[in-house]
Amino acid sequence: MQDIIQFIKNESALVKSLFLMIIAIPITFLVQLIFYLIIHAWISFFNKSKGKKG
Amino acid sequence: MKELLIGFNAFSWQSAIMIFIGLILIWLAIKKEYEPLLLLPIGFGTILVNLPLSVVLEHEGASGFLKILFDAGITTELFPILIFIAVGAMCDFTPMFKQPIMMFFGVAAQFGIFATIIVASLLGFDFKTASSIGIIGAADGPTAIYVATRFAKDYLGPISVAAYSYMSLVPLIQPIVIRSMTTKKERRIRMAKIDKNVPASLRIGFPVIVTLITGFIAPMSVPLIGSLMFGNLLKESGVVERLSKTAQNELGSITTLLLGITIGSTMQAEKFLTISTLKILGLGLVAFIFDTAGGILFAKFLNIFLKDKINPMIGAAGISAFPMSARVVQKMAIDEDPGNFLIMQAVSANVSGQLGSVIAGGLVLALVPILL
Repeated sequence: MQDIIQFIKNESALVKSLFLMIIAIPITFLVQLIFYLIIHAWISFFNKSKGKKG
Repeated sequence: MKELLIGFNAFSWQSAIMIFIGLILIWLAIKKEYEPLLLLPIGFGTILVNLPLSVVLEHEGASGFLKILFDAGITTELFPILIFIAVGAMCDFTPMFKQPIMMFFGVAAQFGIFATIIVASLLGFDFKTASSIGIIGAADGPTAIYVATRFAKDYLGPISVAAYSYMSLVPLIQPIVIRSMTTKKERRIRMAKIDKNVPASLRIGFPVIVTLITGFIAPMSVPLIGSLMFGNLLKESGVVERLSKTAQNELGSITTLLLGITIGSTMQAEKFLTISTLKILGLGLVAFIFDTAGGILFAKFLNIFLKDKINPMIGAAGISAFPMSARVVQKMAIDEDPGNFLIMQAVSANVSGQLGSVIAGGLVLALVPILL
C-alpha cells in the first residue's frame, strides 16, 4: 500500500483524484455498512427483549 | 480636496461589479428566499469589503473587524465547527433508524463529490483545490466551508456561494436529472412502508458510536463528525434541553451570522472576479447533477437483484440537502401517481445523506494530505 501511495504522490492531480474516488467511496460504504449492522442489531435486540417481556 | 474624494478615487469598476453581486445575493435572499440565513450576510459582507479602501479588512496597519472575524473564526476553523454543533442538535436520525437500508443511498449520492474532484482536476485546479470544489457535492454548506477552509482558503467565497446557492436550487436541478434518468414506470414504483420501533437507547448511543468508529477510521474527520455528533447527543440525551436549545437557536444563529458576513469578506474583486470563480460555479452544478445521478443509478443497480423494487427516485434523495430533496421526490411521486407516498423512504435516505456527506467530507480531509 505504501508503494502505491508513494507512486500516486508523484502523479498528476487527475490520477490522485481517480485514486481518491476508488478508495474513498468503498470506505464510505464500509463505514455506513458498519453503522447499518449496528442499528440493525440494536433494534433486533430491543425488539427481542421487548417480546420476551411481553 | 483630494482627501475628500478619496472614496471615489479608490473605487474601481471591479469593485462596482462585486457590489452588484452583493446586491444580487441580498435580493436572492430576501425576494426568492434562497438560503437567506447565509446569502444575506454574505451579500452584505461582499458590499462592505468592496467599498473603497476596504477598511473593514485593514486600515493604517490595523486589522478591520472582518479581518479579525476571519482570523478568529475561519483561519482557526472555529465557525464551521460551531455550526456543526448547531446542525447536530437539529438533526433527527429517527427516520434513518426506521429504515436503515436507506443509509446506502446516503453514500451513493456522494458520487458527485468525487466525480467533480476529477472534473476539477481536468480543468486545471490543483488537487487540494479540486477536493474543496468537489465537496460542494456534499450538498452540505458547513462541510464545504470546513474543507475549503482547510484546503483552499482563497476560494472560500465562491465555494460557499456555490454550495448554498445550489442547495436552494435542488427543487429545480433534481427533477430534470430524475426525469432524464428514469422511466415513468420506474417513477410510479410503490414501496412498502417499514415502521420499526426505535429504542431511545439507540438514539442516544448512535452519536457516541459514530464518533468512536469514525475517530478510528479517519481521525482527521473528528472535528467535523465529533462536533456534529456532540450536538446530536445534546438533543437526544434529553437531560440538557437548555444546552440543546441554545445550540439549535442562539449558537446556530450567532455563528451563522458571523460566518456569513466573514465569508462575504473573502469576496474581494481581485479574488472573486476570475475565470476560476466561473469554473467553480459551473462545477458546483456538475456536483449536484452527479450526486443525483449516482443515487439513481445505485437504486437501479439494486433493482436488478431485488424482488420488491426500489423507486429509483429515492436514490436522488440520498444527497444531504435536507429536507428539500425528500420533498422533491415526494412531489414527483405524487405527480406520477397520486396514491404513491414515498415521503418516509425519501426522508430516511435524505437523513442518511446528511451523515454520508459528513463521512465523505471527513474522508477527503483524511485522504487528501496523504496523497500530497
